[in-house]
Amino acid sequence: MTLPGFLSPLSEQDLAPGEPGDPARQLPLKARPMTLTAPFVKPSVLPGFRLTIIFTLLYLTAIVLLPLGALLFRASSLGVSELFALAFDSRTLSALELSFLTSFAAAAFNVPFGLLIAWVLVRYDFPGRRFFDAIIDLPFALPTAVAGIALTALYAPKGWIGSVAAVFGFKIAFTPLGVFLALVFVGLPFIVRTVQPVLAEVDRELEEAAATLGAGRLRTVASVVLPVLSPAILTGFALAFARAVGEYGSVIFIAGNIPYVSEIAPLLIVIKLEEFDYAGATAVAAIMLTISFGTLLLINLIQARARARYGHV
Amino acid sequence: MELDIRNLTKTFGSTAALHGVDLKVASGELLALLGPSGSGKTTLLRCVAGLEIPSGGQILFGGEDASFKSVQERQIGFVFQHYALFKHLTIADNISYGLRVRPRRTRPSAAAISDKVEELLALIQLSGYGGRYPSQLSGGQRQRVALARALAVEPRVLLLDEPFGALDAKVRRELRLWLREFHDRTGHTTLFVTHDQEEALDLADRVVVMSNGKIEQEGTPEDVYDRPATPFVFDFIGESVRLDVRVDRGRPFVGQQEVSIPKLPPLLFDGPAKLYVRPEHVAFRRDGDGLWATVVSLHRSGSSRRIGFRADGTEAVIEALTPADREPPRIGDRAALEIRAAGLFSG
Repeated sequence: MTLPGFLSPLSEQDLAPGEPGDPARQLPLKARPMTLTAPFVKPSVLPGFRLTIIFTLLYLTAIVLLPLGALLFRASSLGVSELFALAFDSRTLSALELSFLTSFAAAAFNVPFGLLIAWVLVRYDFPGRRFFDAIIDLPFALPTAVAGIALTALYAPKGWIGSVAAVFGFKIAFTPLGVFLALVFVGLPFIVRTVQPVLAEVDRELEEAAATLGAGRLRTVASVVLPVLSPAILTGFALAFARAVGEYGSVIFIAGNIPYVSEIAPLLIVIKLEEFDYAGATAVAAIMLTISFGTLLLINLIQARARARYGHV
Repeated sequence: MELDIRNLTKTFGSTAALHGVDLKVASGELLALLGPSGSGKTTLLRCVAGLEIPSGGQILFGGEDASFKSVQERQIGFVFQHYALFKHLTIADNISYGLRVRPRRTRPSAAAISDKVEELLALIQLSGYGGRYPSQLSGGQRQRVALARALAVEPRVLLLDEPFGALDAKVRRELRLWLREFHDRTGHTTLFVTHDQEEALDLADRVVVMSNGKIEQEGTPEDVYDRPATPFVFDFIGESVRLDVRVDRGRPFVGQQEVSIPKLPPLLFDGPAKLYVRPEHVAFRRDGDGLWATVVSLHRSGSSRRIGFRADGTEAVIEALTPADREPPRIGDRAALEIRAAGLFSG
């Protein structure tokens, strides 16, 4: 004897669809993966999240974090007072100052001119446009030492431009100005190439709308186009700046490497390494890393803030 | 401000987008430019705005030649299909943009600008939204903001380019009614471009039907719907079937049968012609005089039923529209068709 509706075996007719016990309802529960899914993983129809995130994390760790971690570990073994003594050594300080200031100046200098070049390449069609477009990438492609030698030949006191500048009492090569010029050279493609695609996508209707509202051309560009481009400009600036801080090959020839005058921080690291001063090299490297990381973080934060505010229309 | 467009032409490279368009728009009129894509309606609107430079002809704003004036000088309000709002500016800053870019001596004071913004926000029923960004608004709201932005500069003419084209059907209808009311209150001379005939016929005082860079017909919505002037208008607006007929001594024939159309004016030509008939103008009886035909299809659609008839001696199918609750004939039944109105064009 069985109790009705309780222990008796249920036939299929006893179940309304969707009730607990309906096989159709049980299925998704069983199919749900009971594996290592972290709580932040939202169910998605696109498979492969776990595989790709694991790969990404491992790869970034191996390629980026491990060497940088080793550097910081090495630096931390120095001890705080020793690290500070090395960092605040006047030669180190002037090298760091030169590196970061000229890098910043060169990246900033590249912003308006890179923007102008991108504008011309995107907005106008003229004979030779493709050629000029192609040569933008040359500073990327050239071995930096080649660029350095070429620039030195031009700007040295006996070079084509250097000799002209000398007449007016300017010295370019072997001064911070020479460093600046080399960094402008290597940084240009970063601005142009980050701005170009965004500028090409700028909705022309925005400019037309501004014009119908009475805004002149300059006003339109400043108030409508530049704000749209600003994230790309900032990215280009960050890339050019980062590249300039780490630039070595093209600078050392033109800089002349006079301590306290035209000696850049990366060169100082090399010099310390050649003198078997590993601790000193590590300390300078760690300081450069910290400043660079801080700068890039700041730029990213500014961009994130802009994105959160304006959204994507 | 009335608008006078005289013999306007525009060519892009070797293709002509406008072939000598003449059009007068009365002050305070709401005029629709209706046509399929590629008909030149948007080009015409952009020429009026000054966003395209015409290849020839004149555009007069209130009698004054504006053909060579820049966009900025024309004082027009332009609303784009995809709103073209400045997404880095708040709604209030978007609306006041046209006032803020004025040179200092004609620019209103900050207080006057903010009053104007409040007034316009109230007008578009978005009071309190001034501090938001365009990305936080729905499509219909964005388009109303775009309209307010265009109105803020007190334009002489308001130009709308497919203003509801990017919105879904329901919002479209709501906004259409809203725009009509809005126009009745504010009375701006307004030109709007659309490819949606329902929108044009519903909204406009006058409709200009365009095709291939030319005006096919201009008139009230009743005119263009009830009395299409050309085969194109018959085809493009409303529903119609086309029948190949032959005109003999001023009377149209389908096969061997004469088609009698009560209100057709006397025909001044003989030979082949095209007859355009709207389904709602076709009545049928089981006996009597008329164009004899056989029922070949029945199709229920909502509150009405379409019945397809094949006229004796032809392959052409004429559709009739009847209420769905009327007893339908069966396929194969014979009936006499009475065509109450039609258009007949030589060729």
